[in-house]
Amino acid sequence: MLLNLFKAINNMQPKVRELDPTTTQRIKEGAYLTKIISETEVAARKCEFYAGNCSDQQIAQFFQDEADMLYKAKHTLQKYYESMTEE
Amino acid sequence: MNFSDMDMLQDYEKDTRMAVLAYSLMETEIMDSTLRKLIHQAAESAAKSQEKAAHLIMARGDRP
Repeated sequence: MLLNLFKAINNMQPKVRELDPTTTQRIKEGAYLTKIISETEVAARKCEFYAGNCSDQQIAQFFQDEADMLYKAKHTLQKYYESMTEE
Repeated sequence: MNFSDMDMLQDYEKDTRMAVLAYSLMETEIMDSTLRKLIHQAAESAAKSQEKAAHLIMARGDRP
């Protein structure tokens, strides 16, 4: 009888939705994506800093191109992250 | 602090090398096909950058 009472009380409690494997996977992928976005931005800033510090013109151009490419990649990844989180 | 051009190139070459490894590993853990494709592209472009940096280093008589 006591068990039934406890069960009844438990049923009245709000239920927490369990995370199914798909949701867990989705969260993991989102976490990877945010990590990649921030790392890409750090790399882009580093390349810009290097481009400004180079004495050789060819190397400076190389770093500037890399910085532009990394900013573009960051933008693409960020757009995908926004499309992922908006639903 | 002053870095020489070669220091910066060597450092960047090492970074891109690590990026290729990290992206390739991450790709295997991702199920979302679009994201998988994006990460794959990232790994490829990191490998290309590594190649370019390595060529620049070797053209200046050093080794990556």
